[in-house]
Amino acid sequence: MNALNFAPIDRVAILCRADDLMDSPELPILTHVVPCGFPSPAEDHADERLDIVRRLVKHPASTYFAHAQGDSMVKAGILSGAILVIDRSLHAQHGDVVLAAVGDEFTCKRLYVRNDQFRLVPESDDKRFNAITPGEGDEVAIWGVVTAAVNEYRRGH
Amino acid sequence: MNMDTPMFGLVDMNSFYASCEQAFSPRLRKRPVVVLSNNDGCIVARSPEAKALGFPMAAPIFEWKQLVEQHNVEVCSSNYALYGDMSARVVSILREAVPRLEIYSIDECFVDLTGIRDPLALASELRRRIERGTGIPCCVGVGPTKVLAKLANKVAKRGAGVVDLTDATDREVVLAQTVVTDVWGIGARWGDRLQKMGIADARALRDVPPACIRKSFGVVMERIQCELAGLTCLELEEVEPDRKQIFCTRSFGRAIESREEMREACAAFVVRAAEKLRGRGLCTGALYLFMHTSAFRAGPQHHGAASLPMPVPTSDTRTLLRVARLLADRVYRPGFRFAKAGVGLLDLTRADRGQADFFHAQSAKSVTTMAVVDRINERFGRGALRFGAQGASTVHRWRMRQTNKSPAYTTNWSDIIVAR
Repeated sequence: MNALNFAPIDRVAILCRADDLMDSPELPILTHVVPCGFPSPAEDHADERLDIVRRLVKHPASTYFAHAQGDSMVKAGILSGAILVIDRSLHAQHGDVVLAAVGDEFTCKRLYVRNDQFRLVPESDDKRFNAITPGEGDEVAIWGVVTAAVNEYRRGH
Repeated sequence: MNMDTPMFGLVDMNSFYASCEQAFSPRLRKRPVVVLSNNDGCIVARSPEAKALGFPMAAPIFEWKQLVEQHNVEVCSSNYALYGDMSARVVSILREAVPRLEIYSIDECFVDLTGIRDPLALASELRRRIERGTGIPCCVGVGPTKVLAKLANKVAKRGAGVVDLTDATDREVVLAQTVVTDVWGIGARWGDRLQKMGIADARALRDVPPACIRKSFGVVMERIQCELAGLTCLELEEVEPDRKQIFCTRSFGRAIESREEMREACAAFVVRAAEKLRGRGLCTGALYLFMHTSAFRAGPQHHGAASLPMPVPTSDTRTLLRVARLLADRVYRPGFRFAKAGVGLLDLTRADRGQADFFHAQSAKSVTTMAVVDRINERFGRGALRFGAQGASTVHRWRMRQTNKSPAYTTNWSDIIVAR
C-alpha cells in the first residue's frame, strides 16, 4: 500500500521538474497528475500568460540588446547598466531615443531632427555630456531605435 | 506574363561573415576586415575594403602578414555563434515576406516569387528589409529557374543590387558574357572539358544539342542546360533532406599527445554530433572515429580510423560515448602528435521510424533523458550539463585556436554591445 501511495507522487514530482526545465506548456501534465483524468474547470477559459518579451520585442528578427553604460540618459529613465531594447527595422524619427555609432563606439542619445539636420542629445544634468552633431569630428550613423530600457534593481536573485 | 510561370529569387548576403563583424563594431566600419577559418588558418571572408586590397579567398593568412600590417587590416577569428544567429534573422525576415523559401547555405536563400506581379520590386524590398533589420547588405537575383536566379545574383553583385533575368533579351547578353564555370553547378573539371569541346560561355552551353550534352556529361549537366534556357528542372527544396551522415571534426589548436586528452576530445565531438542527431530527429546505426597527425609537420605520421555498428540504432549520447571510447583507444597510438580528429555518425534513420522491435528499440527512458539534457543545454547554454567523459575541465588545450574572436553579440548576455 505504501508503495502504491508513493509511486504516483514520485512520478508527479519528476514530471513537474522535467516540465519546468523543458518549458513546454503543451506537455499534458494534468492527465499525468490526475489519475482519473478529471478535467480542469479552467481548461476552457485558458488565456495565454502575459509575456514581457512579446510586449517589448515587436520585431524579433531585427531586435538587439545593449548595455547602457554611464549616466548621460538618466533623465530619460535609462540608468547605467540598463538593458536597451533596440529595433533596427524602425525608421528613427525626431524625439526617438536611438543607438548610434559615433566614431569607434556606440552611444545612446535622444534624436533631434530639424531641416534634415540631426543632433544626438544627452538627457542629464551633468554638464560633461555634450550633444553630438554630425560633421564635427567623428563619423555618426544611427544604428537603431531604442524602444525600451530595462533597469534591473535586483540582479541575479 | 503567365502567373503560374515559376519564378525564383536568390538572396545572397554580401561578404557575410565580414559584414557581421562590421555590423556590430563601429571601429570596423569601412575598414578592411578578413575572417579566418577554424584555427585561424585561411581567409574565408573579406570585406569589400579587403577585397580591394587584393586579399584572395582561401589563402593562408600567414602568407599575407605584410599586407595586413601595412593597411591595418582587422583579422577576425570566425564567430559562428554570431553568423548563425544573423543568418537565422535573415531567414525570419524573408519568411515574413514570401510563402516558400529554401535555405541553401548560411548566407544564401532561394525564395519563391511565383505569381508575384512585380518580382523585381519585391526583390528590392527584401533587400531593403534585410539590410535595415540586420545591417548587412545583400543582393537578389531573379529568374525563371534556380540556375538563372543564381546567375542574376552574380550580375547583381557587380553593383545593381537586384537583377532580373526573366527578359529574354537581357538574358542573351548576360549568358554570352558568362564563362561556363560561373554557372551554378559547373566546376573546374567540367569547365575544362566544355572548353575543349569549344563551349566557353553559358550561351554556347545552352545551345549545344541536349543529346550531346547528356551523352558526355549525364543528366545533371542536361538539367543545368535546361535551366539556362529558362525551363524549370530544379524545384525549391523547403525541407532539408535527411542527412546520410553527421560529422563533427576539428583541427586541434595544439597537437594532442596523450591518450586521456584524445578520449576527452573525441567525447566532446560525440556530444556535439549526438546533439545534431537528435535535433534532426535521427538515430545512428554506426559510429566512425578517426585521428591523424599533420602532414605539414615534421615527425612520425599516423592516420588511424575505425568504426563500430550499434546494436540498436540510437541517439543516446551515453551509448555513443562508450563506443567512442572503445574506438579511440583502439585507434590511438602513443608517440604521435595528433593534429586532427573527428567522429562520424553513419547509417542514419528517422527516430520515429525505427524498427518496432520490442526488445531492441531505443527505450523511451533514454529518449526522455536525452531530451531533458538538450533542453537544459538549450536554456542554460551549451555545455551547462556535461558528460563525465568530456573531462572535468571546461578549458581544453586542444580547443581551436581563435585568437581574435569577436563577442557573441546576439547570443550571450555578457557579450551584448555596450552603449555609452
